[in-house]
Amino acid sequence: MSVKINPVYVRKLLAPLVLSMFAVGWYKFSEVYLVGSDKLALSNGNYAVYVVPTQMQGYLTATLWICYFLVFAGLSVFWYNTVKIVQGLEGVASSFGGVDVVSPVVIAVELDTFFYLFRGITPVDLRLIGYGVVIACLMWFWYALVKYVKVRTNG
Amino acid sequence: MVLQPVFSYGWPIVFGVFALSGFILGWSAQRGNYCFVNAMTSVFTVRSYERFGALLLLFGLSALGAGLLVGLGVIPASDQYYFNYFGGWYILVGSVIFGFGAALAGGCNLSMLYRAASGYVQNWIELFGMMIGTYIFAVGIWPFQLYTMEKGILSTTSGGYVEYLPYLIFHNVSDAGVLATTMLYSIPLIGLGIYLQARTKKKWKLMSTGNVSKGMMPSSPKVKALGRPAVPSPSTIKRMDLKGEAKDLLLLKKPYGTNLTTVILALDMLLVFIVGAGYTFNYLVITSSDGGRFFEYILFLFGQHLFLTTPWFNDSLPIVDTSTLMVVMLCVGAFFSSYLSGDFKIRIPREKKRLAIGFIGGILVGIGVRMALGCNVGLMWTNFAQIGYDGIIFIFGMLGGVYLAVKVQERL
Repeated sequence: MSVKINPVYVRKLLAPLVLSMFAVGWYKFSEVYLVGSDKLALSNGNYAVYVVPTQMQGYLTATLWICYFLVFAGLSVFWYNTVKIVQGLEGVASSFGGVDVVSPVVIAVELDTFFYLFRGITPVDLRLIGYGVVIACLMWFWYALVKYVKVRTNG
Repeated sequence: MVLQPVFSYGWPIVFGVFALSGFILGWSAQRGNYCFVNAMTSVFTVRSYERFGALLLLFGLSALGAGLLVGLGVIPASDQYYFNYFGGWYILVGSVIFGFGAALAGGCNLSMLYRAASGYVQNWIELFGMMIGTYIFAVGIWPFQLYTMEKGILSTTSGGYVEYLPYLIFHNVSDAGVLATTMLYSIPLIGLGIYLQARTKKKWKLMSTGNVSKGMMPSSPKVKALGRPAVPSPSTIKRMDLKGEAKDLLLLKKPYGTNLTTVILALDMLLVFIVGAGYTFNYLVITSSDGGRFFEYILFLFGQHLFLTTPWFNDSLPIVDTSTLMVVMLCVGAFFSSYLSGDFKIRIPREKKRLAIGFIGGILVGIGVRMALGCNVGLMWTNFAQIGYDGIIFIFGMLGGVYLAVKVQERL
C-alpha cells in the first residue's frame, strides 16, 4: 500500500524548517569562513578587502540575533502549519484531538533543539532553562493526555 | 577624507538596521511585484506608463528626502556625495547590457532576488548566471575599464563631490545650494511621474468607457443601519473601503499597490541613509556587487579565495559589509511574504529554453552591472538620492537595452 503525501503539506512544513536551518548555517558559515578569510586577507596585506575587527564583530553580533529570530520564526510557522494540517485531517468535529496531546511534546523538542543549537554561541548556560522546559511540557502532556482520554470516553 | 559617524551607536545596530531594511525591501517589493525592468518593458509593449511613472516618483521622493535631510543640516553633505562613483562610458554601455540581459532573463536585480526567494527557478538560474557574468567581467573587462578610469579616457578620474550636482551648479556644498538643487532635481521627477501615471489611468478609463455595462460595475457595500435607511454616505463608504483595504493588505490577502510600494521603498532608502551616515555606504544595495561576493563565498567552501588571485575581487569588495546582510534579509523578507500569503511555490518554466535564456540573461546582467559600477538599485536609484547624474545616464541606457530586448523577443 502506498501512502500519497500531499505536496502542499510538504511545502508548508519543509520551507520553514529550511529557513531555520539556513539561518543557523549562515551564522556558522560567517563565523568559520568569513572570519577565516578576513584573517587571510590581513596576513596577505590585502587591506582593500580586509574588514576591521569592530566591524566584523558587529556583523557577527547582528547575524547571531537574526539567526535567533529566524530560527524562532521558522519553527513557529512550522508548528502553526503542523497544527493546521492535523486539524484539517482530523476534521473540525473533535474539539480536543490528538494534536492537543502532541503539542507539548513538540514544543519541548522545539525549544530544547533551539537551546542545543545555540549552546555554543550564547553567553549564558541554557541547560537549566532546557530542563525546566522539559519538566513543564511533560506536566502539560500528562494533563492533555488525561483530558483527551476523558473526552473520548465520555463522547 | 574620512567619514565620521553621525549618530553614536555601534556596528551591530548598523548591520541590524541594514538587515531590517533588506527585509522590508524584500517584503514590500514582493507584495507590490515591483520590477524596474517590467516598468520599462510595459512602456514599449503596452504603452503603459503607470509603473514607469512610479519609478520616477521613487527617484524623486528619494532625492527629495535625502536632499532635505542634508539641506536642513540633519546629515552632512559629505554623506550624500562620498560614495558617488566615477562617471563615464562604462555606465552607458553597462546599463544597455544590463537592461538587455535583465529583460531577457525576466527581472531586474531586485525582482530577480524576490522572485528567486518566492520559488521561481528561472531566477535562480539568472542569479547563477550573474555570478558567472561577474567573474567574466572581473577577468576580461575590469583591467581595461580600470585603465580608462585612471587615465580619464571618457571618464571622470574621481567620484565624490566632483559628480555632486549642488557642487557642479553652485561650486560649493552649502545647505542653501543643496536645498535649491534638491528642489530643482526632485520636483520635476515627481511631477513627471504623477503626470505619466495620470495619463495612463486616463487612457485606461477611456478604453473601458462603453465596454463596461452597468451590471459589471462594482456594487456598493451593504451596510446595516438601525432606524435609518441603509444608504451610507459617500464618505462612510470611502472610510469603510479604506479600512477593508488596509485589513486585506495587512492580512496579505491583497498585493500592495504600485504607489504604496513606492512610498515604502523611498522611506526604506531614507532609513539606511540616516542610520548608515558616517559608517558605511548609506544607500540601498542589491546584488550587483553581492553577485560576485556570493560567488566568492561559495568558492570559500572549496578553499578558493578570489580576493587573492583575481582582479576586481582583490580590490573592490570587502569580505563583508552591510549589503551582505541586506541581500540575505531581502531574500528572507520576500520568502516570508510569499510564504505567508500563499504565493510561495517552486516554479519550473514549462519551456526549458526559458532556463537557458535566463542563464544567458544573467551573465549579461552580471557583466552589465559591474561595468556600470552598480545595478538599477545600487547605482541608478541610489544616484538619484545622491543628487548625481550617473542615474540619469543609467536610466537612458537601461531603457535602450530593454527596448532592444523587447525587439529581440518579438522575433524569438
